[in-house]
Amino acid sequence: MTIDPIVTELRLPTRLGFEKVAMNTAASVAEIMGFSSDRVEDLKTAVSEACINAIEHGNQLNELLGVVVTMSMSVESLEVKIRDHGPGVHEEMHVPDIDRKMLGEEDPRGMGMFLIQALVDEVEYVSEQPGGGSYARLVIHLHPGGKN
Amino acid sequence: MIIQQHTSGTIEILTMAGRLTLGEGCSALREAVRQLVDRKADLLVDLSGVNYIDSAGLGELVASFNTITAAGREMKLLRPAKRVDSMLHMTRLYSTFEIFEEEATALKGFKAR
Repeated sequence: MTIDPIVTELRLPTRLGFEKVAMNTAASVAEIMGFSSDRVEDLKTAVSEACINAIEHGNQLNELLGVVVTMSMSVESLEVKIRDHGPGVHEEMHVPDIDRKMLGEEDPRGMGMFLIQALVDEVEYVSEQPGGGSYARLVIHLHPGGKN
Repeated sequence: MIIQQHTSGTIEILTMAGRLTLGEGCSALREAVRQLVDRKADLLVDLSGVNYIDSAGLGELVASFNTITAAGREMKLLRPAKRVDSMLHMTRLYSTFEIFEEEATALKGFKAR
């Protein structure tokens, strides 16, 4: 018998700063589930980065659009989907070249997706049907091959 | 973000406290660095009071380093707090920045001007 996940959903305005609402809510859910404080901090950063991407790149700072954050809590894992109205991520994740950044040869920013990948157990970027928006799906497991 | 400044010779020590993130924290650091470049100072950034950093904050540290070195000066980091230390390691910035635990040792690491 499977147990339906417990879902918490937020609708954020497309305005920088509101990512903190999502990160703090995700942290509260993760704490309820019993994740360690380090894992909660990892999740907070990953959710914040994904929300900023959704606000800045997905919705292009268009305040007429919203960002929907859905947190699904199951026995073993917490899944956070961050949905925006953009076309989604189509290229391979760019691994930042720190040496080039330090030499001023590469944009000093652009480490967000790399951080997300490093901080959670699973990441997926999904584009829905044309015009349907897209979402980032982040998952942390309570007992992943020992990461918690 | 609160930034306090004090000087040791030609070295400005910026002591930062709070969140170094997109927006306020990054803007405050950028403005402080702009003023230091005008004064031709080296820079030591004390991160012991920074309790949270995001990718934009990490990028701002790199941008600050680029600005300072392009002006012919040096920039080093001091005492990153636990979370910042973790992010610096994760991005490999820890091994590219010069990072010190003691202010006196860090100050000795700058070239004499």
